[in-house]
Amino acid sequence: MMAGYLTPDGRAIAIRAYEHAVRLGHRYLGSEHFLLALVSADQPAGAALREHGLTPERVEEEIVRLAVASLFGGIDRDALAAIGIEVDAVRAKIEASFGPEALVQAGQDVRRGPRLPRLNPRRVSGAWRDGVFLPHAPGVEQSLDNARREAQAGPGTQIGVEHLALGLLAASEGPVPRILAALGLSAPALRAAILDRYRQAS
Amino acid sequence: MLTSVESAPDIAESAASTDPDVGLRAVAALRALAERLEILQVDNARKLGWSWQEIAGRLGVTKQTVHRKHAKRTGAR
Repeated sequence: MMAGYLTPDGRAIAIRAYEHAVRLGHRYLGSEHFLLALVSADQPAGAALREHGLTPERVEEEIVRLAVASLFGGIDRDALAAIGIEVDAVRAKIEASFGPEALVQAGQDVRRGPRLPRLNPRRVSGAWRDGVFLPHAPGVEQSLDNARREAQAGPGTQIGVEHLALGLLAASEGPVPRILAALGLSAPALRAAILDRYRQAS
Repeated sequence: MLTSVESAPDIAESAASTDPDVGLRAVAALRALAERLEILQVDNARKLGWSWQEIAGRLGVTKQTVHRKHAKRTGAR
């Protein structure tokens, strides 16, 4: 990615995000992985987010919920209810029996996106690591652009953890807005909490 | 269990509906649901080391059918 533009801590977040994507079996790097890395980080931005209820457990739960929603997406519930099948009951059973990886994988397979390994990494933005390329999902570029702007507004130019956090919160694309809404959190309030935290620190 | 007793007539009514719109939509939705569950179950069976033969047997289709449908997807993993 833009290694030189990230502070060492910022770079650690990007690496953790990539690792979360791989662990969950996603074939892309998404802003939800950056969010998961941030809220898990031993950093003021991570602490501020956790204090407001954005914990790694809850973020991961929402990521799995999105996968399950895509697994059952587009199915006519009313039609099935008419013959006595409650899709939500089936879904609850599936969610309780399968692990996050299985649900994420099936959710992606249902969506049948482009055959990602064939994408040309030189023409698609994304992240390389250990010979595996993960393309950026919608929302990542926007978040990184936001983060870059946050960094430029400060004294330094490198993108730090707090800039990544603010950049993610400001993104309108990708799953982060949906995750925040599902948890009943407001992006502006979280932004204020992060800025507060760094003001105290400086 | 009172609620299920109460809702039973509704369901029976719909299931017995001779309205093709209701019936056909239900069949299509059931097929879609089965497709999704098949993906989840086949992926899981492969991960647990089941052979295509074993999976095909349970699904009641030939090994070729299940392989053609799922191998490309699960093959790389």
